[in-house]
Amino acid sequence: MEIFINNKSYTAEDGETIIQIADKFDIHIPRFCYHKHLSIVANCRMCLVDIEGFKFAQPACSTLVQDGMKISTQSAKTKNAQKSTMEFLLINHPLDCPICDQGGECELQDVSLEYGDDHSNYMQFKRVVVDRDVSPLISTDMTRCIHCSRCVRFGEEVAATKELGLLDRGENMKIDSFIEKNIDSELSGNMIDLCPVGALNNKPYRYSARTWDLSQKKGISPHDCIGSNIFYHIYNNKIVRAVPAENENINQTWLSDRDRFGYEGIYAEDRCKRPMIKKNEKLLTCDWDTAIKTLNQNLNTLKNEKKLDSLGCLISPQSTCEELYLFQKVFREFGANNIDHRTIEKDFDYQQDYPVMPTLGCDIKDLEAYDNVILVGVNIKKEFPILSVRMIQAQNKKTQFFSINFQSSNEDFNPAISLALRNDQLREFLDYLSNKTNKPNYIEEKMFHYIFKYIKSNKKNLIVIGPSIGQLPNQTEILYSLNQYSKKINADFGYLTEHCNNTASWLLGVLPHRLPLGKRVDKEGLNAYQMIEKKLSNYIFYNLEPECDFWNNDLVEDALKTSKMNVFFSSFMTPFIAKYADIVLPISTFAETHGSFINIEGSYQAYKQIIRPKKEIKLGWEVLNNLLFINGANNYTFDTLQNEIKNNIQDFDVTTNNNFKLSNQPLKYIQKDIFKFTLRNTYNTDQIVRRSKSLQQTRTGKLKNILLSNDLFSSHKKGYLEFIDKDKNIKSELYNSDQSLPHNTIAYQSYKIGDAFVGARTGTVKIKS
Amino acid sequence: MTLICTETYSKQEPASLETYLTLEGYQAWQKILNNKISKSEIINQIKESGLRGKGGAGFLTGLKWSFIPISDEQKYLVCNSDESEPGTCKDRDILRYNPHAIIEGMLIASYAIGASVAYNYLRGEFLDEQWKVFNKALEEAYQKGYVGNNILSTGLTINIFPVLGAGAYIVGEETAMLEAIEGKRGMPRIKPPFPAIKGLFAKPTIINNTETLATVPKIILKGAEWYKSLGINNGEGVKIFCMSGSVQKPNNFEVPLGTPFSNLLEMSGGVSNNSKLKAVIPGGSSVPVVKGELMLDTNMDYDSILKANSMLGSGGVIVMDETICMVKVLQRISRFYYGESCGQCTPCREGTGWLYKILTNIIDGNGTINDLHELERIAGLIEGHCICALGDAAALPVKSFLNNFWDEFEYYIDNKKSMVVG
Amino acid sequence: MNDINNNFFNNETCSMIENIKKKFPEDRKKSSIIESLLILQKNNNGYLTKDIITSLAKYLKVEEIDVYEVATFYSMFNTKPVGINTISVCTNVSCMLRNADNILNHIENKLGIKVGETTKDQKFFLKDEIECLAACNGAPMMQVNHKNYENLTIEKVDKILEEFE
Ligand SMILES: Cc1cc2nc3c(=O)[nH]c(=O)nc-3n(C[C@H](O)[C@H](O)[C@H](O)COP(=O)(O)O)c2cc1C
Ligand code: SF4
Ligand code: FES
Repeated sequence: MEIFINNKSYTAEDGETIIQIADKFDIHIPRFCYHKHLSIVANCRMCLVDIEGFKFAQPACSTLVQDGMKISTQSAKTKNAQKSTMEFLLINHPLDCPICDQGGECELQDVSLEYGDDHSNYMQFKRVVVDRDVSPLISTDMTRCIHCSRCVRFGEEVAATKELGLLDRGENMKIDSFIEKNIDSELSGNMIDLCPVGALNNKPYRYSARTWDLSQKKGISPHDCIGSNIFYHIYNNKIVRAVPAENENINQTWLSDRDRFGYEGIYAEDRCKRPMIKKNEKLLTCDWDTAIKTLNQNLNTLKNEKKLDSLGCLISPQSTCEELYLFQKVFREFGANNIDHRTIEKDFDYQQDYPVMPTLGCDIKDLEAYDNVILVGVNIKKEFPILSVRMIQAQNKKTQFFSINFQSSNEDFNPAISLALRNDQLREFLDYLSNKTNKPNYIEEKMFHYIFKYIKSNKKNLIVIGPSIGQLPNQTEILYSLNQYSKKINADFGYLTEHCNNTASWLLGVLPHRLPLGKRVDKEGLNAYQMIEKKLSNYIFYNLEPECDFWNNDLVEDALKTSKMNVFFSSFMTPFIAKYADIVLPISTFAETHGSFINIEGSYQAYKQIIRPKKEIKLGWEVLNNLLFINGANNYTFDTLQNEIKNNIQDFDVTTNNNFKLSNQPLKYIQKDIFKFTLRNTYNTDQIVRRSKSLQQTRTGKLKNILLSNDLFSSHKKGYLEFIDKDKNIKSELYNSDQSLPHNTIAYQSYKIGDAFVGARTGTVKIKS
Repeated sequence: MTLICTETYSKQEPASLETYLTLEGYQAWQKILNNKISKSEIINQIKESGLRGKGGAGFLTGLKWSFIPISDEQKYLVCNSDESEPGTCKDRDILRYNPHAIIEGMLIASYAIGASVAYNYLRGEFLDEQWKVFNKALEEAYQKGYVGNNILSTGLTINIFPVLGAGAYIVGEETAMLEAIEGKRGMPRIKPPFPAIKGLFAKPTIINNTETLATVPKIILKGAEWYKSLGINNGEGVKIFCMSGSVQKPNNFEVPLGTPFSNLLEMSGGVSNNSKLKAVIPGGSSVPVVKGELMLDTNMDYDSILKANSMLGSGGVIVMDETICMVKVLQRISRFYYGESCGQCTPCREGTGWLYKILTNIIDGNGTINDLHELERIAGLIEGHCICALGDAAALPVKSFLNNFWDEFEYYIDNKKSMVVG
Repeated sequence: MNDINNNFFNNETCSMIENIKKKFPEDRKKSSIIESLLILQKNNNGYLTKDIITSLAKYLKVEEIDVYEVATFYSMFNTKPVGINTISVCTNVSCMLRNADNILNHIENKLGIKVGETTKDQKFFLKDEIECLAACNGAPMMQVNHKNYENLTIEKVDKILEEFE
């Protein structure tokens, strides 16, 4: 249809609103309550426009276009209507923009400069609203609120956890949470962006800079495999704030709190600031030249003595593609085979049959095309908060979610079923679903009814395997059973991985058995677990925190104690590193280097250096490159390196990736004693997040307690918990019962710096009576 | 005079089923069921009768019903017994003296629009008397099989549920009422979509006023022409007017539309306080005030009142004699809209308070003439700029009071006291 | 049912709330909030507490904030303690024209409180009634515990209040 705005003709579709057309053609209409990803409420009345044939100006955000409609965004009627709304908004709004944190980026300020009057006739008292401390991430200044209700609608519609509501009515209406309740959701920071005024502010950022002094750099989330796009705001070479960069395919206009506040970890006090070498049992600073040369010498000695089998090369999948690629390249050039990134895993029997790289099995935006999505071993709200948004959207479009985990998942969307099973039960359950075993009696009959009623092979089904499965001692058999089941119900099969770059780690051959693009290695090396368990004499750790990033931190310590050379490429100086390192190479975090990540859909996303590192900290890829160079290889520039990677992966056909066939049925795992597993706490997943002060102050960040299933808890009478984990006695006073755990189960909060050592991530324990 | 909604009022036990049955109660309903009268025929009859909504807007009832889509989806009828327009007290009497007429009307309306569930929303303040009486009547109707599953063995299902509010004028607005029934804050919705397309629980819904629905059975029983012809002087049908304020005998009168105002005034015993008629708000406090002289020449029908620059509204006729201070009346009206604004639209949330505060300032003796211009200006900024009509309802009285009684306001400002004694 | 404080949910209250729920489609849990709150408030000396709101939210399986939003919107709900008997004097136009203000003043003086306050002995809460109570032809009028008293005179008011002494 044809409509006219300011006498110019535009084509519009049935069902579009005036503001949508105007936005499409860059015709400015002021607005406060309207947001393209929220429902339309048309309550702020800022977008009123003159439409021919209407006595009064009408809201552009809610008025549907009609053929031949004539709209003016310039006429006196429009201007007067907008000016009057502005006047009303300002009568109760403080006019102290210079001290407001939103100053300079306040939509109210912008609009009032353009549309408001320069003086107010209002002589009465202004409304004042008392504030509470509701969150370590958000500060409130509710006197500034203009009641647009965006924050409330965000909670209701996008996050599906309503934390803020509208209270009281009329002029006294205010936004607040329930009595004495805090804002705790994992997506809460988005309300800061949505708030058009200075009512909801970024608390850590408060007063740290004025907006006009900031510069902006784009980054990719280093905290999960979704790859949210982020704008970092920089002041004096320091990140002071992060906001979403819009990407309709990935994070839309949202950001999880982890992605918004995680960067604080970069500024942790325990950053490695200088290269160091151990001399006479003491770790001393040295210059870079010495450090690299020493490392190179040691490696060449190993090479010459043909002892490279005693070298373990481990790198975190949180590293950039460039680092991952160079890492495997450098150490393979030396002749090493023990190369891996899967430090949180134990059972690797699956690895020959695994696809070239783990992917979700579909694009993130296409999740809503599925009838059924079966989530196994993942709590989306806790582990992939930004994905919750998509799942809620999908659910609103009738996708059903089924969740099977070791603790029933407390999702914000509403899973049709949410089962909590131990690892042995999980296999039995899956095998029953594929008609292979008898019906497990610990699952309610109606669950099966439901599953069989909805999950059928003629439906569009997706099975998603979460990172917790990787931690299991029987991961292979679970993967095998899931694979069988997926064939039976004709489902797509996909993964959500531990870190932001697991997909690249596989694709780029950071593996003991494969080269880049899945090519076979001639001589297969040891996997990550074997490297630790076998107590090698030499280790290279890249971006890894020995205390937290391994399947069993006890074993790591054992290995470090006895080895001869421990080299840490690290951004942080942890107590283990201080104690066991022979060489420490301080390297950049994600933000201090150019880099790229491949997200779980397989999208390659590159970004430029966001801030410069401190003087003595080097970019990780440069250090690796240096090692290559001094051994006579080509000297890469960042661009030639990145192009080599891009050219490599360009040829890879992602669509052929997903045929995963396990050849041999794995052995049956038998669970003895109490099943223990480790929760993946949202704010503990990686080294940067663990060090974000603000996130650690949130409710989730503060979780410490060990959780006991109800049966264990009720049979345990003492005021403390004492149990035997492997050969070690552990005593804890911090424990709770948790009814969302299966029988005979203990759940540890994930590894944290300073927390008690808990041994293996999964396995068995005995309670001391 | 033909009485419809108020027919039972003079009887002993007016609310009882027996009384209603002796007055041809439920015969319209049985006629429909026995003769299998089609939905469209009923809607046509209501259309032809010229029945207009008696809740305030005066929209043609039959036309409204015809907007309901013909489909298999769930549909709802809602009876609006929120009665909270200041000056209006007719629905509460129907609820307590003639509840069966409402029930029969709800049944017929539900049938006509294909709704199997109907809600009657009563304002919370009715919980002591009207709520109890209506519930009891409903129980009787259920027992007799007029309502419920398999109505009078026809296989038809219509369930009626009364629901209770908890104090909010705005919930009288039809979409706010839907929100309230959904258990939320009573904040009006944007239209379109209109409730007939997407209403209660997102399903097609018709909302009618109590009096409107209580009138329906007699129209079905006696025909559209009959109802239409009850009006006089170009009016069509009848309407209850609630005579209140400065009259000797305040009361509800169900009279032909078109009845001269002077007759109504006479029926209510004339102006009180031995005074003369000064002004009348003819349709509840939301409509513009009319000067007494003009009102005495006006008939009580939609068009005539419109000619007098006001509206028939809910039929709440508020009469003011010459001892009444118009500044104070306007201040009280403004306080009402200030207190009852739901708060979602900027102009209404911020503007109603502004109006009230200026008026209070004047009453306190601190006003200036400029305040009067401000009042007019602010009212103008609110009018037409809000989601629902509460904004207009707050603005129109201000405009009309100033328009008709500017001198009195000026006097108050200059002398820091009212022009009238008392 | 964790977190539901049974003091507020005796069998009778539960069955009343269950009856309310029956009026609405099963997935429309919020619909029962308003009427349930009225019952719970009545059982709790006329006001709502945090505990009541939390308990109802859990009972109906809705968010606490959903209940709280409603509790602060409708004027018949009190979220602060009030007196045992609630008096609402209508002062809207029709009543005002028939001297409702005198009635209100009289009550204020007699009880020694202003609108919005509760007497020291907790006997009376004088609600700040902004709405018209739909008894304009019985003006001036008031409600005591939502029961109507119409065509009031000072003498009548005194008598009525005595009944509650
Ligand atoms: C602020 C406001 C308050 C209203 N209050 C009532 C009311 O108390 N009772 C009523 O029947 N209609 C009231 N209405 C009118 C309703 O919105 C609606 O038009 C009416 O219930 C439709 O029924 P009818 O067509 O039978 O009149 C009010 C409208 C507005 C804007
Ligand atoms: S706090 Fe901000 S986002 Fe929320 S309603 Fe107020 S102005 Fe809007
Ligand atoms: S943007 Fe249209 S009314 Fe708020």
